[in-house]
Amino acid sequence: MNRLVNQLLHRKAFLISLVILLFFIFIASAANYLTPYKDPYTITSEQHLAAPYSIPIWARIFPQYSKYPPNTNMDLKSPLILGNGSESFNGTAYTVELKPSEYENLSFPLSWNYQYPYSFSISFIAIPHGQAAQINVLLKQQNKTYFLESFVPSADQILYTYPTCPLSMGKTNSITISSESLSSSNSPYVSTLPGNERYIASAILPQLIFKPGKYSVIISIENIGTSPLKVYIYQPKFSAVGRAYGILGTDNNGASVFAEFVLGARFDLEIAAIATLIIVGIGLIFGLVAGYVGGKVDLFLNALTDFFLTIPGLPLLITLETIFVVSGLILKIGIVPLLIAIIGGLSWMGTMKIIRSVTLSVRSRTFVEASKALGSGPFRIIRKHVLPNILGVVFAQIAYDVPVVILTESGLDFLGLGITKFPTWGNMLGYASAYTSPANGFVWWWVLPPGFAIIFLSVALYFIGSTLQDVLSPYKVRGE
Amino acid sequence: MSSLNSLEISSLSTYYTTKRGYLKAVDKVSFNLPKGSVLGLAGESGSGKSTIVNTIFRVLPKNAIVKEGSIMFNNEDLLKMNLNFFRKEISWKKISWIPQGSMSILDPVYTVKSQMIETINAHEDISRAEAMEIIYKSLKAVNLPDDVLNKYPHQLSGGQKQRIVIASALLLDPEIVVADEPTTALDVVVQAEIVKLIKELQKQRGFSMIFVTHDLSLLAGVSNYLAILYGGKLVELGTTEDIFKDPLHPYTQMFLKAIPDIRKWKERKLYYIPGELPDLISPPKGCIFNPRCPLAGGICKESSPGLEEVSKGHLVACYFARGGKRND
Amino acid sequence: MRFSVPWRYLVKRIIERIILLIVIINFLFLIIYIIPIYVAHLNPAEFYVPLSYKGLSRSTEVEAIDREFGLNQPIFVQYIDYVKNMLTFHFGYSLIYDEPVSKIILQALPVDLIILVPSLILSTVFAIGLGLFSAVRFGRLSDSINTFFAILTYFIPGFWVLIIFLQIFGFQLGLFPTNIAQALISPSGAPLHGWAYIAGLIKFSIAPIIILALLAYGVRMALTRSYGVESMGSSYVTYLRAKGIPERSVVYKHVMRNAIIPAITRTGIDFAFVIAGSVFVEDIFGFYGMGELLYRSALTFNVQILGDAFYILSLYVIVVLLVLDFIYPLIDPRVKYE
Repeated sequence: MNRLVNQLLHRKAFLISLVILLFFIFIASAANYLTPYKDPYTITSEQHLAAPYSIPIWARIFPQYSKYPPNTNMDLKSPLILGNGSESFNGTAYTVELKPSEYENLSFPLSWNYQYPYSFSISFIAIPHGQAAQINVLLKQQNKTYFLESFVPSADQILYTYPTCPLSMGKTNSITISSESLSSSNSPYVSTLPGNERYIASAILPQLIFKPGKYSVIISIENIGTSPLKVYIYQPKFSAVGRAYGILGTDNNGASVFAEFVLGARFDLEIAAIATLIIVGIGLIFGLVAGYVGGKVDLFLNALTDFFLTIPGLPLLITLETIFVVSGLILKIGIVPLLIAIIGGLSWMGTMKIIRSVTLSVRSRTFVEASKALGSGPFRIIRKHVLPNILGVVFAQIAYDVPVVILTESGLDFLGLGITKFPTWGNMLGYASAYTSPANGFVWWWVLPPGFAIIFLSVALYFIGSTLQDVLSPYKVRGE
Repeated sequence: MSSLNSLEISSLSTYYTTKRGYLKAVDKVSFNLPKGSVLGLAGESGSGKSTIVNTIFRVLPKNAIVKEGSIMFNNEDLLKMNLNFFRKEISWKKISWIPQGSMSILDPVYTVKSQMIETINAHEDISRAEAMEIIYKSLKAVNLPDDVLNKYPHQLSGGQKQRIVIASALLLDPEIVVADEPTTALDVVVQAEIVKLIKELQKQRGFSMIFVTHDLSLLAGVSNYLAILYGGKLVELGTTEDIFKDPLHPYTQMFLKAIPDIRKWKERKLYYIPGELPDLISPPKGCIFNPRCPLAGGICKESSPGLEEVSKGHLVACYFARGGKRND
Repeated sequence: MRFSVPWRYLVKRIIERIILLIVIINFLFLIIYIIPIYVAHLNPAEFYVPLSYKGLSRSTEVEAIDREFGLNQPIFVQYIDYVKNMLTFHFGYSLIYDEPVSKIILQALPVDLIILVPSLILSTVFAIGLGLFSAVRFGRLSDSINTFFAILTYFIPGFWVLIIFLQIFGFQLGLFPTNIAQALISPSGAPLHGWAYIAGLIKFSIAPIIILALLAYGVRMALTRSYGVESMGSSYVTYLRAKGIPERSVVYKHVMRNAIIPAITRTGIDFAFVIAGSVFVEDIFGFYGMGELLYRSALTFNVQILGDAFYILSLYVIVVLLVLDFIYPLIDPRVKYE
């Protein structure tokens, strides 16, 4: 045993493959810790985490992505005060006191070092006490001022030529100005835009306004009544939904590709493990029985195997699965076990063939003949002589078959014929292919990781299997 | 180069490079092949016989190197010759080879005819009809019917294949033939036929021959001279008569005893040489045979004996065989 | 050697294949009739009718189909009918496509051959070329790298490479048409004819042909290499060299001839299964072959077409394998008709 481990550890390909496999096992089993998300495909709250097709955060090291904004969320602080009223700040609230027709501007500095974000929003809580107040929210960059929204008591709205929003005097107003909800009916700035831009304002506003530079968010308060006004402003905030997110960016729904990748790894490893059991189980039993019993049994099992080898696999898989779906059986069984059963059930033939031929050759060797003559039962002979001899071959077969199972399953998912409801590497590629178009470019952070993962996992399994075969095979003559 | 010899091998050393170091497959072997004579080259497997043959035909595997020595033919060193010239003008035209006609000695996907024509065309610029004439003649010489020509190697029996290999060797009427274990793969009856055939052909055509074998009994009626190899070294060289009558090297003596004699099978039990073949990568110190030698004394573990002439034309590499002294 | 027709062998093989075909028909009957009826309690007629057809109600349609196909007959009568229909290629009429099923299949089948057969040939060329390249350089670094890439191709998901290629070279760089429809119209939108049509077809096919070839050459390359290495070290090569055969002949006539036999054999098998694996390339490059027919039938749950297309694909595999049985002895003289 020690010698075996020793031999294995001296093979570079084996070691590298083992590290790769362990890496995937790690991310699959730690999925719950690596990502807070359970299923970004169906749970909508796990989508729109950032802009659709956001690049990975780290990709900003590339020059063409360097100015992509991440998600931003900041408290607006240390405002520049301008106006003729009086103002005080007690650590939580800005208190502005204005006599009639006085005004006061709170100008919060905002330094923006990125390109435009996907969307942005400015929020604060305003509690105006008095007869009537107008609160304007503006964004200013050097000499350009964007008059985003204006809040006035609803009775006064009719007096304005530009669009305004209602303000409740004496109550708590939670004000949120989001680029996504700005339109020509609520934003003075949008209403001044040319017609065609006006209609798509919510989508293009961030682009129109933001470029790297110094901005100020101005909350301008004016007493439009006839009596003194006292306005409290709490928690002024600026946030932006960025276009760079997480380790692997986002998909078309703005869901985390990393979460999907990790969840996909869990599923692909599960299917690899179960398929291995099915392949080895059926292949081993059929192969041993056919090879050891021989005669009519062998003839039958061999013909069965040939049958499955001759009929084209992928079409059979597609046909079978469709029948199960159409006939409603899928609802009873569930797609995952069904898929695994069908794929595993169509992948054991190679293993059976090879185990059968090894069993046949071992059975006719002199030591087995001798053992039989000494009265050993079939189970003893199989355990003592046949199993040790086929161990290497079984590993080799796993090395070839399991990657094929992973590829097949991914292929079905890719086509949308397999699992579509939760992330797998295959359907990640499927969606990536379906939802990317020439317009949004090559979404490499979404397309490349699942593909490379499939390749790395397959190659790792292949090298682990073939090295084990090499080391375990008793007949193999190892070169000096 | 004496005009009496058709081939002179001197001080030939061929090593294989392995991970552990050089494997000295052939170590300073020298012998001459007198014109028109047959020299038997005998030894167990691993003694370097095949390596010598491969060195002569320059078909050594990639990891082999000729460390030193020469193989002189007509005053030219075969080993220093331009390889293309050697292949075209010397190999097969002057020196041909009868290998063991084993399963895979002929290319399995071409017919016998096409392989024979190809051989002729590689050396001679003659028409197909002329080539066919030569082929028919050599087939006749080895008593094969013409219809084997259209067969593929797998359709032939072992004996037929061996005869084809012999016929192929004679196609270009060479001066020297190297018969390399020509009977090993065959059953005893066919073996005798083949040896007889080779002997007859040699007499008729008068070529010189090196007959390589691990079975000394085959050489008795065939060879004029005998060279005994052990562990890559030549241990004894002389006329067949001398060596059979008066073997000097302890290895030769044991080697001869190991031949089962059908006439005395009741009296003698099967004799074998105790011990194992030496490891040629790190050979034993001193005489290479000393671990298995019943006579080995102190000196044998210290230094390796050179080949010395004991009586006229009879050379032996053993300290205890010097001067014709016998220890038994 | 004169070639004589091996009648006994021929008949035996054909009978074996016919038995296999009947087993496949039975298998199809099992999954298309028995499972729905006895396990899912579903009338197979449901498979044949679309949700709406010429304003008829679905139950009327199902009744009509029942009568038309005899689906209300006892199961063994249906079985006999099914076997008979399959063996005589009477697949009936697809209400969903409003066309005979055989016509739909016959339209799809040749589309595959434009791309799959050339790519198979190209990949064989790659496999043999690179395999021999590695065999004569056995053990060197160039051999190791070459072999590693060949092994890698076993595990590269074809659809992945295809979409990457399509996105970068098709969509981003616009170097080639991204679907067959685009390839077969002129820039002004008029359909192409004659030479222009063929040129468009070739322009469209080149990329998928090359990619598929690169993805498929690996197994056969490894076969060629290992048999080539075996050949290079075999005693007949030593013997040929000793006989003075020029090295060029030794490698290109003898070693090559021996080393390509398994690759050629394997190409034959791949040719049999090539259409079965064409789903991805057809889907991604948008041309309508057998794979796409299967795929769309599966997406629309069109069991009727699916069953018949599957039957035709199996038949194709069986016929190709049968033909191969007769061709192999011509390629490899060691293989006998037995």
